[in-house]
Amino acid sequence: MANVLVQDESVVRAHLAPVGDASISTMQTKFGANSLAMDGSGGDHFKGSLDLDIYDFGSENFTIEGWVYPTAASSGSNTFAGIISRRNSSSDNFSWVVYLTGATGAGDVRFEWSTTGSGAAGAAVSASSVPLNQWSHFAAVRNGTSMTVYLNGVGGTPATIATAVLFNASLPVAVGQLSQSISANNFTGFVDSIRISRGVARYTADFTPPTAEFPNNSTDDPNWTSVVLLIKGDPVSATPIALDDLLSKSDYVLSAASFQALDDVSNLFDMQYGGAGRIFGTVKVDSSPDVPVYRRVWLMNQRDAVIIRETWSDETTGEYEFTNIDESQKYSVISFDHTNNFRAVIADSVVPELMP
Amino acid sequence: MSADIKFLHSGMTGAPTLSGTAGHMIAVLDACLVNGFGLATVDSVVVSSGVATVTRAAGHPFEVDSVAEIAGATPSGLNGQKKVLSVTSTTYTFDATGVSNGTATGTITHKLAALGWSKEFSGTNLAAYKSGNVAATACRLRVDDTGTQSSRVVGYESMSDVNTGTGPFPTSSQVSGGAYWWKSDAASSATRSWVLIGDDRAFILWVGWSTNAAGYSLTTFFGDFVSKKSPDAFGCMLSGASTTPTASLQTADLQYSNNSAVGVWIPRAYFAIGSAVAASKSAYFNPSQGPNGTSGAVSGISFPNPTDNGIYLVPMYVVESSSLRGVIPGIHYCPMNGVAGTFSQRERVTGVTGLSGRALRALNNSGGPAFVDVTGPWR
Repeated sequence: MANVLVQDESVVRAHLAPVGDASISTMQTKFGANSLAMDGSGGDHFKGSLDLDIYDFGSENFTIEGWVYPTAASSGSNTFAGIISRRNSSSDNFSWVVYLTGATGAGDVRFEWSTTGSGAAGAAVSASSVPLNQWSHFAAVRNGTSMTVYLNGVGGTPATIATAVLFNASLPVAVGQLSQSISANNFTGFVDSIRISRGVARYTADFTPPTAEFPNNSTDDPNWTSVVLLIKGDPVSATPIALDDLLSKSDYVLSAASFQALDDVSNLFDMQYGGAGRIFGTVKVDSSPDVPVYRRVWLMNQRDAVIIRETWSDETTGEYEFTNIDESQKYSVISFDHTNNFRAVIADSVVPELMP
Repeated sequence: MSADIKFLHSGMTGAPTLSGTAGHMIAVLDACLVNGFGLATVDSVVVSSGVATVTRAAGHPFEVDSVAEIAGATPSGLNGQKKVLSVTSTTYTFDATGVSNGTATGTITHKLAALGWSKEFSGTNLAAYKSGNVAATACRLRVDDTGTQSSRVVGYESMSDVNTGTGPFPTSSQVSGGAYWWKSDAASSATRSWVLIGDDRAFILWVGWSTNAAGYSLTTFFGDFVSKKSPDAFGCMLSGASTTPTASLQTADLQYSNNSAVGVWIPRAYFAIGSAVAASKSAYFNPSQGPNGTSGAVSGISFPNPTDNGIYLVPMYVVESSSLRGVIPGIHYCPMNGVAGTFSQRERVTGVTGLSGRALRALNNSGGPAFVDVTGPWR
């Protein structure tokens, strides 16, 4: 299963890629078939590919929650065990981080935030430590000026976050490592069902931890539109995509359905001169018979004397047309002979007809 | 098939050499804009079922998407500019619908067709070019090619001789001496590759000015963009750098989407009064909301797009202050990250949804590729 992207089921679709030999595992799961497994060595973790502003929470409420199954107490280079982070280090691009402190057993769950990107501005801690070798639910919740970390539904002492605006980091999110630029303080064990909800404090008092998988639709979750990350440990759905395959062009270059050029932006309406009218005609050189010609044609609004449109008559038929103009006004049509054989011709007081 | 768009590059037989030498930029522009190159007499032209096959045992300079200019043939329907449909080392074909089957007679020549511009004025390593299309803004491109590593370019609303013009863009206060079009990081005869794609009103010029493995290049533009204003007598733009060649300068590159006005100048603001204005080139019609970055290497959508494994292209806009002035023709920007190394230089891409019937060519810079339409029409 190595090198398989982990699906983000939120609308953001910020899939995570494994780093080191982190993998999708069926050995332990809280819900569903899979979880994320990390052995704590070699800097194993999972990481998104994009810096998404949606994880810059500003001063909004949010809820970061999930299930952890630590299999080793803190030791050696893993003094702390990062669960989910958005910081390069404690002094670089530090927005927020959730980790296990490793004091006893696997340690308390701790949430730290930064307003400057360097150094924590504050922290909230769970009331008890996370036991080894079983699933525990954690939730870091900002509710207005209060920041609380819940462990298995029991809240720790709330910290005051006041009106702090969290730092806008230039990073993806990472699961299983404390600092994204430092290969240490990795989580050892399994992680399942990570969910980040932005703009909503899902838990404002002690609660019973969820007994079913997080829903991925608005029918089952009234706050679905606030979900910006939903990781269940499953590989990217439909056809799993091996990273190696992504680098071969045959997957997309020759597929008409997937190499797409997006249109130019649409101009809804000309607010000044727009309407349902059209003016059309033919530019000809007066002769016997008349000769249709390719010439520049201007459309002038007669009231304000502004040239509002330009076109060129057709090279073969000499026809020109101005569409979507205000049918309630009068216009003058002017055609110029760039070959300088004739003076310009004008048809004035032209009233548009309604477009077919 | 329209032969409006010309596709020319330094790898074609007979192409002028570009190096860090005075006069070499003008040699490239003369050949591409005005004269064409690769003139030769062909062995035969045979028409069968509406397709003409040209044979020249000594070889030819054409490739698919390039435009051959044929002269001297009878029937005369074979003469003129023809989009090349297929090639072998000694033959190529073009559409000859309406021409009877048979072998053409006469002393028949071919060459790579030029874009149809004129060289209005010239001097020693100086030149002024003008679009040959009567519908164009007819702004001039003045090239000072006396330098070795860079040419200096200025657009003018009109000119009276090679050193005199009105309405310069950029003005001397914007970039003293004119914008820079880079030729080479070495003032030597070491050759540098180039690609020029355009029509008779505008062109895109890619120059691989360094042989550095990182693939340093500079893509520039001159000519009429597709204006949102009708009529827009000054809907012309010049893009270029503001310094001599430097590895780090990407922001002036046409392939770089920028939310500030860097590397683009327009002769006048949309209200047509005053002098040149700097503008931004952006893949986002509201550039203040879009990230800065090079096509194919910009913070944004992953490559390939996680939801459908797709690669997406968007237009590039000219944005003047807070006004969406127009669309830069020809170029398609890839608003994705990590595309570098996926496409070979000038790789041909077809079958793009939304660009039915069109072929694009990848132009790589050190960040990633942008794509240029070689089928047209651009406007």
